[in-house]
Amino acid sequence: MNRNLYIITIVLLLTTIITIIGDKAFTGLRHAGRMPMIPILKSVSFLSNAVENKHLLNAILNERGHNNIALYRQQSLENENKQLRRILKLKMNLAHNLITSEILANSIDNNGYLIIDKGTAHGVHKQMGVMFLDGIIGKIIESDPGNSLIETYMNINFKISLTDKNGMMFFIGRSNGQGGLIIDNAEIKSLKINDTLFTSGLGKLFPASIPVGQVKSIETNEQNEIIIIDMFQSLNTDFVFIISDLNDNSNEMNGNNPSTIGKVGWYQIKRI
Amino acid sequence: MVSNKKNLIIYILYTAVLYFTIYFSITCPPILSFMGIELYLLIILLVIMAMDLNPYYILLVFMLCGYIMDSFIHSPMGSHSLFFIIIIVMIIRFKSIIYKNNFLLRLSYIFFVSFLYSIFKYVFILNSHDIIISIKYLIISPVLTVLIYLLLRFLKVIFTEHIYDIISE
Repeated sequence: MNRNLYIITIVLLLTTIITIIGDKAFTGLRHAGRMPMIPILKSVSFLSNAVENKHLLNAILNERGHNNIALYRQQSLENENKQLRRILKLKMNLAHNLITSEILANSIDNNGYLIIDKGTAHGVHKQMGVMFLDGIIGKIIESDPGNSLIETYMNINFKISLTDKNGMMFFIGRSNGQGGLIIDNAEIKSLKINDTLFTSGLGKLFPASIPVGQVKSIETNEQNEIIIIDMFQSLNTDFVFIISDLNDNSNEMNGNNPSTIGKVGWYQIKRI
Repeated sequence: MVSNKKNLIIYILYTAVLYFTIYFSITCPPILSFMGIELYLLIILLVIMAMDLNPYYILLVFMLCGYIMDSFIHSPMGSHSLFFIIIIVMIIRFKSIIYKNNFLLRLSYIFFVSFLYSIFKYVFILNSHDIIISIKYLIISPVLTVLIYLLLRFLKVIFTEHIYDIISE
């Protein structure tokens, strides 16, 4: 050790001894001694608070997520309950046998066909009406033992017999290919916008008085009026009902009835 | 120029490490203790720095470090400083012997300093006369400190070349 180091060491030793002796007198020195560590103490405190708050936030978010899931379940159960009540009410009011079927595939955007999981093995045949809770959907046009093809009101070939609310006027509604129906060549002044139209029951495709849609607009042609109808029932559904016991001639339509001899226009010639 | 820059970086790094070591010595987090027995990281750092760095710098820095320790653990102001200065003077005095001889001597030196610190802390400052505390802190703490020093040396051997390469660049 060189001389300078000795001197500095002695000075420092004396300083420390003086501070030890006058410990009570140097209260300010104790406070000053804490100053250098304040930044790191505050930083660590801030970080630990941040981590703690993050955990708390995660816990709150988890709890909120669980609550949301529970609420969603409750809402879906409520909706399911409402739908089941409506189905029950429909089945009680309709007084016809309904076959419930699930939609397997659809081409409603292109040509308006649906494929369902019920066929002739389940009692589903051609020319049976298909509906759901809010109104009509279409009719069965092809059927095999396992599946059936529905021509919906989106299909341009779809036609249906309609009537007004009093059942006094009858119209033929045809698909406009855009999710609505058109009544053209209707020389009537009785329908107004927002009037509801119902099935007439003619043709034995659907029972009478099922709400079909609402008059959206009435356009006047040179001679006639064109009435455009908005449908009540959306095609965005997973299930449909097939009205099974309305058309007693379903077997005949399929050509299975031996008593039918032949057809003349709309009329069938039967063996007596 | 490169050497001065390297020295400056080494001094800054050592000071930063010392700063955090003081924090850990004050707060005594469970991660840096073994079953409630304190590890004297500050003593390890004191020995390493006293051997490697400038003695003037070490004396000043550890005197301030002693004041900081005293202000936090409510020991008489200057007591830690006095202890550190005495230890540094001893290290500087016997530096040549410690360097020349084998690694075991260095370990025993760290053990000896830790043992002295245990006595200083628990007998003189905290006035503890409990025999269990004496065994637990006076003996086990220095042993653990030596083991931690061994671990640090091992890590240093692994990473030294890397660190020096980074500093050189």
